Amino acid sequence: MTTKPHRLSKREEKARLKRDAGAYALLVPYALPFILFILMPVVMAMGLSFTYFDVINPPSFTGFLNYITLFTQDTVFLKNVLPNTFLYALVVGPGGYVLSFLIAWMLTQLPKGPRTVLALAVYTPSMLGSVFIGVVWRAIFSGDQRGIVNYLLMELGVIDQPLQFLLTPNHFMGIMILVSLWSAMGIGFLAMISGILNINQELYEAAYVDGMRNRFQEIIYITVPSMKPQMLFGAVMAIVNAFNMGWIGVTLSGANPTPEYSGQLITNHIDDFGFIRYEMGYAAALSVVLLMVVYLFNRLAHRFFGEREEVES
Amino acid sequence: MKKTLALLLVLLASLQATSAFAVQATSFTYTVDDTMTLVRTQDAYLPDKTISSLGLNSPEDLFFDDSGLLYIADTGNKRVLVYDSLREQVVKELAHPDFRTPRGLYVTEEGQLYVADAGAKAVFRFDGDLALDHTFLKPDTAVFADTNYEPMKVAVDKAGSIYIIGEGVYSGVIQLAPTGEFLGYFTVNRSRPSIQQIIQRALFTREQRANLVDVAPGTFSNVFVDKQGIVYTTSMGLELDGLKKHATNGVNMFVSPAWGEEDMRDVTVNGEGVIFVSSQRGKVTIYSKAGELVFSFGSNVADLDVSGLYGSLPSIAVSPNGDIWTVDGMKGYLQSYKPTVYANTVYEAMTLYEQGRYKDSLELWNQALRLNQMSVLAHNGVGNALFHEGQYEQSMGHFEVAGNRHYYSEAFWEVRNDWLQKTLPLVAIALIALVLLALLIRRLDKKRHIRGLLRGMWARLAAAPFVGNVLFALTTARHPLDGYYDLRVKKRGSLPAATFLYAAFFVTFILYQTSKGFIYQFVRVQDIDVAGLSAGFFVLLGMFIFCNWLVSSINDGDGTLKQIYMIPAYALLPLLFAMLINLALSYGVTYSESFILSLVEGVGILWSLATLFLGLMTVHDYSFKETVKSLLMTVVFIIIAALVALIFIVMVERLYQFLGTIFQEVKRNVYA
Repeated sequence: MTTKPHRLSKREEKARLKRDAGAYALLVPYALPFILFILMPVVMAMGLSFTYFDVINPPSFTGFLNYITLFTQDTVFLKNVLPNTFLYALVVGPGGYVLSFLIAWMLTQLPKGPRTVLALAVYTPSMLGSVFIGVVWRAIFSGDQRGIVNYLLMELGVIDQPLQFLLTPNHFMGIMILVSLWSAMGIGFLAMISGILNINQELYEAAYVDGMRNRFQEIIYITVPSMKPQMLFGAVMAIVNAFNMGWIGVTLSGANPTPEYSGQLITNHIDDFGFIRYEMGYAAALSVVLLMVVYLFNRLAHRFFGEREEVES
Repeated sequence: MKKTLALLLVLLASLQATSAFAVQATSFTYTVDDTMTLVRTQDAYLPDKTISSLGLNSPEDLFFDDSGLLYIADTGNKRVLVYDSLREQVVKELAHPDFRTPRGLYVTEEGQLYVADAGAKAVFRFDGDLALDHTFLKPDTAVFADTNYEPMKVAVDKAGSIYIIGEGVYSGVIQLAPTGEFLGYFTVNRSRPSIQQIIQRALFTREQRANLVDVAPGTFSNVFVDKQGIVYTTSMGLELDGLKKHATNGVNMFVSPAWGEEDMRDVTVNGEGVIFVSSQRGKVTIYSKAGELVFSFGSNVADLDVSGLYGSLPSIAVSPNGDIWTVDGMKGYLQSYKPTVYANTVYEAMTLYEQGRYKDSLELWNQALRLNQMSVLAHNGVGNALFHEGQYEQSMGHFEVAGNRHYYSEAFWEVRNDWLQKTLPLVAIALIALVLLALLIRRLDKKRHIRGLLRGMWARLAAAPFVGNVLFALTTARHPLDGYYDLRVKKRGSLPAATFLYAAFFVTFILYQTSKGFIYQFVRVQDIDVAGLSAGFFVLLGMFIFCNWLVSSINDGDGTLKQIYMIPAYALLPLLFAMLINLALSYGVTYSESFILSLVEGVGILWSLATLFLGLMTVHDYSFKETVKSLLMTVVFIIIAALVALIFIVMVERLYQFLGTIFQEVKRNVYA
């Protein structure tokens, strides 16, 4: 039971402010850039989302028009972007998250030397930028006979002609998800490794004395509950990442929009409207929707892994 | 079985009908229904002229030029006849001394006649006056040196490139330049390896692979170039892809492979792009521009002289006025067909639709529908036309009859979108109101504990033993380890509750199989064997429980039979919920969101399997390895039990027969 906060009187408030002034001053170096470069743009984008703005003419106020258009007229958004984004986020978010936890857990079972090397190897994909992904995966899924997958399939006689993996809508989303999982499993992975390594080994011993019988119970009863903060961090990172990885589709197909909008995520849609069509107001409305969705999912993650007090406040 | 019987009955009934009304048609016309099976439709073509006075000896090819002259390759008589189909007389006869077995013909728009002669190993070109113009002998390229050059069929495109089907050439369609140089193989038939062959290829060494028998690909039987210069080929021995429409690089342009007979002999295409194919055993099959089967008629009878029934059907040609002309390869007579009003309406509607004149095509499709209410083709046509006119709701009905789930889904998307647009403000207001209400309740709850009342009711309900034991499934689903531990140690869960859960699961399962929304109900309800499904479900479940009990009792499993009976019951809840959710969603979700359904189903299955696994592990007090072992052994036991049951059934049957014979004997000997 938390104690009921009592209302502070004016004098008390003043005294408190005076006492904390130093702390606020120390906050300024971070708070100022944050407000200037993150909070302000976000608020401005929210404002822009109620306008028509083509970068050249001053924005003109249109009310909720952008949002209404978005949910009633934009068939590409409703038919392709929205389903794609949810599919992608639901698979790559939890998928990448579970993968990174499992790999982290497996690595912690290894001695220090190989663990460090392998950790670096697993973390590499998420450090490497789009150029590397483009080079490696486009070589693998290349649409001619020299593409590695095509070559193998043709060698085995499964197909007669090379498949245009990166240009056919049917294959594209699957490949995108594969590549994303590969590059997403490193996110939050280092935090998880350190989380697992920091768990007091005596807990396991005590649990075995109490009748725990296998590794699975170890994970459920000891490992996960003991590293909730790291799990939460990993979850938030995974969610934010899953909604922001649209560039993978563009890198793989080499174009925005992706083939027949098959790999079009909401971030691609924003890019499309913002930086190709210069309809900034509409793009801003899309960003706001994205922000809301990501926020909702983050609340969900907090529900699962957050400490109780955090949720209550 | 039942279906074929019904079909036979229908056929019998219609046989009588044909004799009663004296219809001219001598064979039934078929089309495909929504499940891609052939169904009867009314006659598309009626036999017209039968001409047997030409003295043809095993003719092999027919070709119509634009003026309505029919060129006939009279192979056995080593000549080519030019026949005027309107005045019904032979105009010219070409018997060149070099002809050995002239088997293929092609006439260009300029009037040049190409004759492929396998015996003479050459393709001859004649000019408009049928004077020999050029002879294409075997190209002398090194690449081509070892290949057989016995041209069977020939076609020529607008640029003058010559496409030749050679006897015994497996490499593909030979393409020659107008000058006679070898350009390469235009297109090839690939053999489709079986899964076994794929695995062999992956695992074997190079030497081992060399010893494998090569799978022979389908052989090309004919080639045709239409007015637009598109190349068509037919192949023998392929169930799918027997007919191909080639892009300029040789790739098949049909999105879904054309389905048809395995013995296609000839192909011809009319000015509108409708494709006519003849097959060795006397079938004429007609395809739309996109390779969909439109009509199929004709039949194979060797010893009966009925027009429209063939000994063999080597060639087909379509005259400029739309009549089909065929030739019987064995008896050597010509047979022509006139299209019926129905066929003409369908063709016209298809053409109009392709030209984008949806409104006009709609009228014609409706006419076709009046002639045949169940025509999948016409329903698709009406649906498409309505769809393009923006009348989505009406088009849905037609797509449903046609079984066209993809387009139905598209139309449904539009209808749903429309509905959403209309109700969106209401929904938004309702949502906001709900959120406000929830906040209000929460605030009031803090002061007055309203929700306490509900909670009390819930608790009282859950306290009833049966209800509590059913609701216990929620615990096992969320905390399998704890839940099953309680089941084992605290004796939670009960047999009636487990039985209720099985019953609920079974009902949901059957509903899920039979009552999804049209888009996701891939199998029609009437084609589902509900009795078989139920029997399979209960037998499998019973076998699993029983065998697992057997296995665990010899493997130090702690679970009793009663507990083993309860494990799957409590583990199936996630799957049950998944099926319920999908059942509801299948009525409101289109194909573009189909991943939601697969996701829900996947999560449900995985969750249930994991719960089952953890349940077995906990109740038997096994380690991970032991659980896997016990599961594997259970499966092996089920297979053994099934075998034993099979043997037992066979024995009982024998015993029954034996007793029956004894009874018969007794009866005969005592009473006779």
